[in-house]
Amino acid sequence: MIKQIFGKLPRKPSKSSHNDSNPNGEGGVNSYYIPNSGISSISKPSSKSSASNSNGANGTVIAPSSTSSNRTNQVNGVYEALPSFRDVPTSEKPNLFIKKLSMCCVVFDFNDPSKNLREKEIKRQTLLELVDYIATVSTKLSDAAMQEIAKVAVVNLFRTFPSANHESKILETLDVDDEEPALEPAWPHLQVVYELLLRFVASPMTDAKLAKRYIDHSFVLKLLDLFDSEDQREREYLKTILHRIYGKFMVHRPFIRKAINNIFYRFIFETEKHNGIAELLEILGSIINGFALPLKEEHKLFLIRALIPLHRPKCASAYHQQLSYCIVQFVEKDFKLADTVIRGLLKYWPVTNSSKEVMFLGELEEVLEATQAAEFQRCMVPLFRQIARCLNSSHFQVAERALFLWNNDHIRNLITQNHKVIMPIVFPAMERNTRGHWNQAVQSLTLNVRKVMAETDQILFDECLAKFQEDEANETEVVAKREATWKLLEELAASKSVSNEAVLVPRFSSSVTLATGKTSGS
Amino acid sequence: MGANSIPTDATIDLDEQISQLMQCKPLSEQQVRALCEKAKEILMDESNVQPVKSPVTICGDIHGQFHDLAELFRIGGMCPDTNYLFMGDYVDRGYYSVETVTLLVALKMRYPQRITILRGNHESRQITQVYGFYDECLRKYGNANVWKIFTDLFDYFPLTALVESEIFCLHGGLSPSIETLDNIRNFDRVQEVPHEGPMCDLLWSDPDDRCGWGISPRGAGYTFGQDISEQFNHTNNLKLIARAHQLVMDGYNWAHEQKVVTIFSAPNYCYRCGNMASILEVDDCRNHTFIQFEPAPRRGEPDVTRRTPDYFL
Repeated sequence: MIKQIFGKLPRKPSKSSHNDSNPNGEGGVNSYYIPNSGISSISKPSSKSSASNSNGANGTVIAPSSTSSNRTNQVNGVYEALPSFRDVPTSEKPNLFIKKLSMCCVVFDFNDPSKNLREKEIKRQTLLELVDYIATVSTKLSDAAMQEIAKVAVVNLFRTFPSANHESKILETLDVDDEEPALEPAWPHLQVVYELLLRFVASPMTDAKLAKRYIDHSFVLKLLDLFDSEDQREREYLKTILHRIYGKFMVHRPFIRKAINNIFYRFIFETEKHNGIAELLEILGSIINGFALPLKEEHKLFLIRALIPLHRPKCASAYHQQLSYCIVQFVEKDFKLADTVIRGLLKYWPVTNSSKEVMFLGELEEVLEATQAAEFQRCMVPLFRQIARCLNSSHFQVAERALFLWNNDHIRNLITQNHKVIMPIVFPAMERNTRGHWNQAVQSLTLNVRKVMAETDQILFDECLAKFQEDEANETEVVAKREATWKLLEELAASKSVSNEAVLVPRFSSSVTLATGKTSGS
Repeated sequence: MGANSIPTDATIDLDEQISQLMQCKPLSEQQVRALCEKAKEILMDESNVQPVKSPVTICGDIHGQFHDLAELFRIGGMCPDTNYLFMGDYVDRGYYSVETVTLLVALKMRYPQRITILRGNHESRQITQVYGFYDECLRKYGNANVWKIFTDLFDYFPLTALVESEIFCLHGGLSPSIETLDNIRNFDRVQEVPHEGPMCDLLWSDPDDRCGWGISPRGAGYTFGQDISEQFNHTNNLKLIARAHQLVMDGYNWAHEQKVVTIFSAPNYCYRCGNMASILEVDDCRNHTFIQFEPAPRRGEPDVTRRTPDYFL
């Protein structure tokens, strides 16, 4: 209880959390779809212990966290800044570089902001000097230097996140943008270490053939693990660094793709919780962009087995924009994939999540934009059955988004070319909308599309209308028939209970088939 | 009609439904349909300014937090032992909008004279499609029929209530197009909440420290100052305006030198805000008592407030 009362103090002002409903569609829509872009300015000391986090370094590291934290204590007196690069002769600089790197392998505890203040500042300054140095160095980095840089990265960055990241399945039910991300307390050091790693990977003075000894598979895997960080600033660095590694270390490319695939599989089939899917997809978007034609089978399988199923998780809205970009890249590379993609979307079409449905419609529009007639024809029947359901949705944004498809020239052309098939499928939905959709905008958009259909083929339009009216008349008949069947059933059941005999289930169900058989026969 | 009449088949059915709902179990689509059809008949006869007698307990936003509504009844007394006036926003945001609003409508049906349910800005088609009630109906019933039945019913909810001719109760606040209560009594409320105009303002406006009328940051309704509240109360012989619509950390909050009070009845709003909830008891001598309460212990709902910073523990 006290927790809840106190909980209010560091939070956003109450008004902002309540004021976001808005009757004017657009405002309300915005506040719903755009996740809080501004990260809360309050940095809460996280309950995570980075003392234990600093562990997790792999075999290549010399200092396990326990000794490194011991070292922190021991060096309390001797953790002194080394001379600046400017104050030593050029010949001494490489050695000093390595010494400074070794200094930065000491990890400090950021959970206690008052601890080791002086040492933390010395390390931060040293890291900044290293970043400067690596940006200006004009000779190839030595093997020893590369090894030491990798060690700084391993010791400082690689840590396992507390299982709290995934602890409560229950949080899945929350809106994704509802959660306030935790900020990494050690960020003042982490950021500079990331900057150092980035400059190292990007530097023309780094020879990939030598560096791959340290930037190896295990290093890449650990780096990929960090994408689950809750801190968006960290994921942003990781994205840039991994992208650079992918670019520079050709030899790692298949491995990186496979490792990302595995992250996606675990996310789709096991956890449905990962903080870095959007960032990974962003890298992939750029990778896909560079695929050579014809597409390799491996890449097509990736589309079918990873990207399309990524539409399924409940939290897909968190990365949908990046996912959609990847998908469209594929279709633009090879338009023959359009009908596979569209059928994939139909397979994972959301049923009880309207905002996700709106996103699917947006993606569908982009895919259709890149779709050619042949592929369109292959999937148009199931596709327009779904679109008809969307047109008819009580949800105004879903219906609107579906109607907007007719505003797209390319899509409208595809529809017009195939109107003999499509019009009969969507006509009833249109007709029901014009008769009584609660939302004015949906009504008038429907009238526009209806007009387009009538202009395309007035004869077919009239036939559809006649068919609709006929079905409507039959509807009452069907309902009447159904009611008669039920009535008969009830009478049958009543007669059984009057005879005071227990109504056994199998007997009852057989009488059901009997009864329905009778009525449908009569 | 009254609560003390001899039970009929209909009331026995209703009592069963109410006890089912009190266990947070939703009714079937057919039951909801039948309930709402009858509720419509009762609600359409109520005034835009529905008169209410004391003693009565006045409550603010609930927002689908069913377990907190149950807690509210444990604390304030069950209907009809206690008379209630709810000032809207039963649905959206919480996980049990369906159960919450069904229970309130069922209580209204069972004890029409003992409970008054006003319309909030969330009792609207457009807002419920953006803030959760629509999707909740899809999840719980597999189609949008129940959403349609309820939102059709919301059109009939009265907009304001008047307790003993002295406490004016409504969801949002005042409107520059309304000077007297008769102005309110005279318009046709049976429609979707419009984007502007007096009906919209009543459900969307907020009191403000600044004088006069102001543009609302919500994009609908207005902000109104103390001068406006004083003038309105004077013109209409009112002592107090009781309204909801805004999260207040203590569950209630006085404004405009006690001419306006905000009441909010969803504790730990959205399972994360850490606020208290409150209800206002007006007894038969017209004395006011606020009762505050905290979230009910529950299972199956998240509590995001878990991340309380270490320095508070």
